[in-house]
Amino acid sequence: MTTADGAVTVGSLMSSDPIVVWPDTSVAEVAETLDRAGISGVPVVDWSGYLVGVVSQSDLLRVRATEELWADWSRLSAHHIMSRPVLTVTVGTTIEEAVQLMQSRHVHRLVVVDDDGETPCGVLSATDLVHAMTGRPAES
Amino acid sequence: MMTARTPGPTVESVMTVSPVVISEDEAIAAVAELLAGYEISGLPVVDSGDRLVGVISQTDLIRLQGAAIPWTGWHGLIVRDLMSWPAQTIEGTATLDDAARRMTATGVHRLIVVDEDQAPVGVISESDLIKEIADACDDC
Repeated sequence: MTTADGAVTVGSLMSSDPIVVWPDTSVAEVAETLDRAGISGVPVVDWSGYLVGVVSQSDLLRVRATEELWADWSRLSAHHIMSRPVLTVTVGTTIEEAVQLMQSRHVHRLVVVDDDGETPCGVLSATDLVHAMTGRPAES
Repeated sequence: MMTARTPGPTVESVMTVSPVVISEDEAIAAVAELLAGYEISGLPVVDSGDRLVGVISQTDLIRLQGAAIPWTGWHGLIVRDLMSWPAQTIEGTATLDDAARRMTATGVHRLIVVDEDQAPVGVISESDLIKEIADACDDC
């Protein structure tokens, strides 16, 4: 997928139909989800399917590294530790713009949202970009 | 249930042993191939004496991509030009709490374990720590 002037867009490199978690998903379940799927972060959506945050491996590690949080970690849920607001792009955003955004904001993934601007339809991760450099598709 | 007071496993019990490494003189293009091929997000960089001199990661490659140098312009670049150094290291006998704290404090996603000759003998990544949190959930 490219723009009219030939630029590669997010839609062509992103992972579609992303795994998501809910705000009240326990931290333990989030860890299991990331581990099982082999991914480094996951969008958090509310019951309407709207994006409300992102939880990454680094957010989980921050819990692990903070003694008072770690002592109580079994009571924590995604909404306690997620990052927000979320940096979003659309399928039509150019890869160049997406890379600039990831770099300037020091994130490893961008959530791709529908035209409504709120419903996740994909995730573009650093892994997707590196796989694209090699010409091989990322495992989804 | 695991709590902050439970003596947990050590870095060497969960780290990846004999990790994939790359020479500081290798071409940058080889990094993307290794990261994608082994499904890892970064790897230790060694000198001609197999001593640890840095780490190169997805983030470094994306920084290069963000610099808008055409792929063809990458061919003159070698790992040493782009790697992060010095590498963040940790003792194999350190606890996972220590590893989580060090990663969070330094903002890195992996720590390298070296032997007495400074050769990398293990890598502990965020993914290893997330897996350990996920496994602890089995006892919830």
